[in-house]
Amino acid sequence: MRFFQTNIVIGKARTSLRYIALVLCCVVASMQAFSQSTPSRAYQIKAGFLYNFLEFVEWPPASFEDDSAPFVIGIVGKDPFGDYLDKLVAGEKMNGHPIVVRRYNGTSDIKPAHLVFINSPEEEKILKALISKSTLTISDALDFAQTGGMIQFYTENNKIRLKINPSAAKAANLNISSKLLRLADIVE
Amino acid sequence: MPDIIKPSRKSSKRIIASDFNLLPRLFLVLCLLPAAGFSQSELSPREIKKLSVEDLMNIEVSLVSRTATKLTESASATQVITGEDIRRSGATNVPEALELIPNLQVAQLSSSVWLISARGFNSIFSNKLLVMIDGRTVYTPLYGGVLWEQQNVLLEDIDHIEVVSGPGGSLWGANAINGVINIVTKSTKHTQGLYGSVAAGTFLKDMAALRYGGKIGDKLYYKIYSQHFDRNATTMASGAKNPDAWRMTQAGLRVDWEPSSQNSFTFQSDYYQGVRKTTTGKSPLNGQNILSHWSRKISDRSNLMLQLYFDRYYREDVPTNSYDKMNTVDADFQHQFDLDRHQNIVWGLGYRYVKDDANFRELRGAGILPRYKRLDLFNSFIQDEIKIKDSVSLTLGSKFLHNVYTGFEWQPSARLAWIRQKNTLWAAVSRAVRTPSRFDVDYFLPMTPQPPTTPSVAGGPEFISEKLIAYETGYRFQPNKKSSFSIAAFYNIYNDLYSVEALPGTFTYQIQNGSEAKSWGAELSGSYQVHANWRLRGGYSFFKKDIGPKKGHTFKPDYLGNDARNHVHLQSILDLPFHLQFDVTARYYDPLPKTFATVMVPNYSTFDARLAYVYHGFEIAVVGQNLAEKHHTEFGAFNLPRSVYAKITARF
Repeated sequence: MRFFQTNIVIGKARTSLRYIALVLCCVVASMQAFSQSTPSRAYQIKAGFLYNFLEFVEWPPASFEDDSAPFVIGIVGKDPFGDYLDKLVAGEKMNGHPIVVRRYNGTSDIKPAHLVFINSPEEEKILKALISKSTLTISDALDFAQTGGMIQFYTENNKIRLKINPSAAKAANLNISSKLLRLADIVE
Repeated sequence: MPDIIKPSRKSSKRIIASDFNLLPRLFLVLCLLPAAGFSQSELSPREIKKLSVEDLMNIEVSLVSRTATKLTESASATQVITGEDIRRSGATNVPEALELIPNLQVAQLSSSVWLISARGFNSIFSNKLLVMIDGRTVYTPLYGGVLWEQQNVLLEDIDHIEVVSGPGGSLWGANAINGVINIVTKSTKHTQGLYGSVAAGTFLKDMAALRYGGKIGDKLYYKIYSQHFDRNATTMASGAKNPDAWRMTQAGLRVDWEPSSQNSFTFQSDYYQGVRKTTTGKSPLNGQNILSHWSRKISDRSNLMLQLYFDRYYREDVPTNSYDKMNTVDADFQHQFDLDRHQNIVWGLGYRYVKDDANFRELRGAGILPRYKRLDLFNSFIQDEIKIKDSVSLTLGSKFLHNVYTGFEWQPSARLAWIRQKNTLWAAVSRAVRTPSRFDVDYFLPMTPQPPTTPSVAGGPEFISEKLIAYETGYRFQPNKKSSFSIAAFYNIYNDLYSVEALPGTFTYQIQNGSEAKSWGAELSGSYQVHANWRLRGGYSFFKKDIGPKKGHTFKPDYLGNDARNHVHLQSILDLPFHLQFDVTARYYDPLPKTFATVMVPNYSTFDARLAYVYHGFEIAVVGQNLAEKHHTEFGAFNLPRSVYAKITARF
C-alpha cells in the first residue's frame, strides 16, 4: 500500500515538473524583442572607468575631423553595458566634442573610434585592425595588456583594478597621464 | 592636460559603506555570480559618473558588508543568493528564502517551525549550524539550533544571504560545524525612500510592511521599518486543523554613518512580538536586539572592526508549561593586515555573556535544570593566508574558544586554493566541534530526582563536545559572463555524537557521547543567463551517512539525522513584455527514512510561481506556493497546503 502511494507521488511530481518546463519553453520563444536589462554591478563600475579615462588620456587633435566631431566610444562584440553607458554619457562633452557610443560586431565592421571596449574572443584580430589608429583599447580579456592592448580590467579583492601597457598607448600616439598610471599595474 | 575640461565633477564621495578590504582574492569569483542581467544593487549612471578613478577602484563589485568580511574562507563550499533573487521567488520569510539555496535542506514541520541543516543531521534539534543576521549570532545556546519563527527580516532590505556548507573555517564563531548562514541586509544608503506592501492569501493570511529611509547631510543615512503578518494553520494527517496559526509584529531601525572614508558606523535595532497558537492555548514570544558596529580602515592593507550587540528573547510554550528567556551581550574585535607581500593575517577576539532563564514548570515532564545558567563564551581566532604562488594560496588558521561546559576547544583548518582567472580549485581539511548546549547537559525527564529503578533521564554531566574532521574539495568555474558553476564534495568523520544511555544496572539514562558517524556527499550549483531577460539558477545535492553507536555503546542515533539523499532545486527568473515578470521555483526532496523517533516522510516535489506586473514604483504580484499538490509533508506528519497570496507593493 505504501509503495503504491509513493508511486502516485512520484507520478504527480513528474507531471508538475514537465508542466514547468513547458511553460518556460513557450515563453522563451517570444523573447527576442525585449528591452535590455541593466548590466551587472561590475559593468556599471567599468562604465564609470571608461568615462573617467577621457580625463586622463590625451588624444591627438588630428583624431577629430573638426571641433564639432563627436568623441566616439566603441563597443566591439557583445555589449555588456546595455544602455547604461549611453545614459552615463548622455549630454556630456569631451573638450567640446559630444560623446557618442557606437557598437560594432567585430573586425569586419569596426569604424574609427577614440576608445573601444573589446568584448569579443577575436580581440587579437581587432587589435591588429586598430593598429596605427589613435584608439584607446580596453578589455576584460585575460592577458590583454600583455598582448598589445592598452588597458585591461581585472578584479582583485572584489574590486576592479587596471593593468596598463603605456608603450602600446604611446605607439598609437596617445598620452596616458601619470596620475592614472600610478593607480594601475604597469605592463611592459 | 590643461586643455581637457572634465564635465560635471562634484564631490568624490565613496558610495559603498564598507571600508573593509577583507575579502581575499577568491571570494570575488563568487561575487561575480550575480553576473549580467539581474544586478543586486543599482548604481545610477548619474552617481557613477561623479566618481573619480580612485573612488571607482574602491567600490566593491559585490556588495559585501562587514560580516561578509569574515568570509575570508574563499576555499569553501559557499553559495550566495541575492536579495533580488529572493524577492523574485515570492518567498515570504527567511526560511522560505533559504529554500532557494541548494546546499541547505529546509523542512517545514508546522506553520511556525522550520528545520534547516547543511550536510545532514536535520532534526527537531538541528544544532550544527551557525546562523547570523548582520553579524548577530541567532542560534540559541538552549539547544544549539535556530528558532526560525523569531528570525524575521524585512525581505525587501536583504542584500544577500551567504551559505557556507561544511565547517566554516577558522574565522567563524562557535557552532559552525556543518555550515554557516549569513544574512546580510542592505546599508541604509541603499534603502532610501518609502516602501510599502500589503499581501493577503490563504496560508500566508496577511502581511504588511512599511519602511522609510532618509538621510541627514550626505554622511548619515537611516531607515525605520515595521512589518506584521498572520499565518494560517497546517492540517493533521486526519484532515483536521492543527492549531499552529501564528502572527508576528516587528519594527526596527538602522543608521549608517560614514564620517570619513576611514570610519564607518552602523547602529541597528529590532523589536518583535508575536503569538503562536498551541494545542492548549496561546504562546507568546517577543525579543529585542541592539547592535552597533564600527569599522576603521587604518591603511589600504589594514582594517579594524569592533562590534557590540545585545539580544534578548522570550518564548513561552503553553503545552509544556515552560518558557525560555535568553539574554546575550556580545563583543567582537577583528583586525586584518598584510604581514608582507605574500601573507595576510586576520585575527580576532570575542566575548559573549549569555544568561539563560529556562523555566520548565511541569515537574513530571521534561525540563532544564538548573533554571538559571550563565553561558559565558570566549572566542578568538587567527588566520594566515599565504600566497605561495600567484595562483596558489594556502590558508592556515585556528579558532580557540572557551565555554562553560567543556572549557578550552580548538578548531584548526588548512585550505589550499588554486585560482586561475575563471577557475578555482580548492581543498580543505578542518577540525570542528559542537560545544554542548543546555539540552545536552541540563536536560531532565522528569524534573524531580528518581530512584535508579524508575526510568528517567538525568542530564549529561559527562557530555563533551561533538567532534568533526572534515575533508572537502571543490571546483568553481565561470566559463563566461552568463554562466557559473560550482561543485563541492566532502567526507566527514564525526565522533562523540549525542546518545542517551542507561547507567549500568539502572534505569537512569544519561546523555553521553556514545555515537559516531561518517557522511559523504556532493553539492552542485550553477546559474545561467539564458537571455538578457531570463535567468536560471539551481542546484543538486547528494548526501549519505552511516551513523551508529560507538564500540561498547548501544544507543540508536538514526533520528539525529532525517536527511534526504537527493535534493534538487531550480529557480527561473523571467522578465516578460508589458512590465510583467514570471518566476518559478521548483524543488524535489528524496524521502526521509523512518527512524525510531520519527515517521517516514515520502519524497515530494513542488513548485512556487509568481506573476507580477511592475510599473514604475508599483508592483502587483500573485504568488502560488507549493502548487504541485493539494498538500504535502516535509517533516513529521503535518500537511502544508497549496496556497496563494496576492501582494501590492509601492516603492518611492
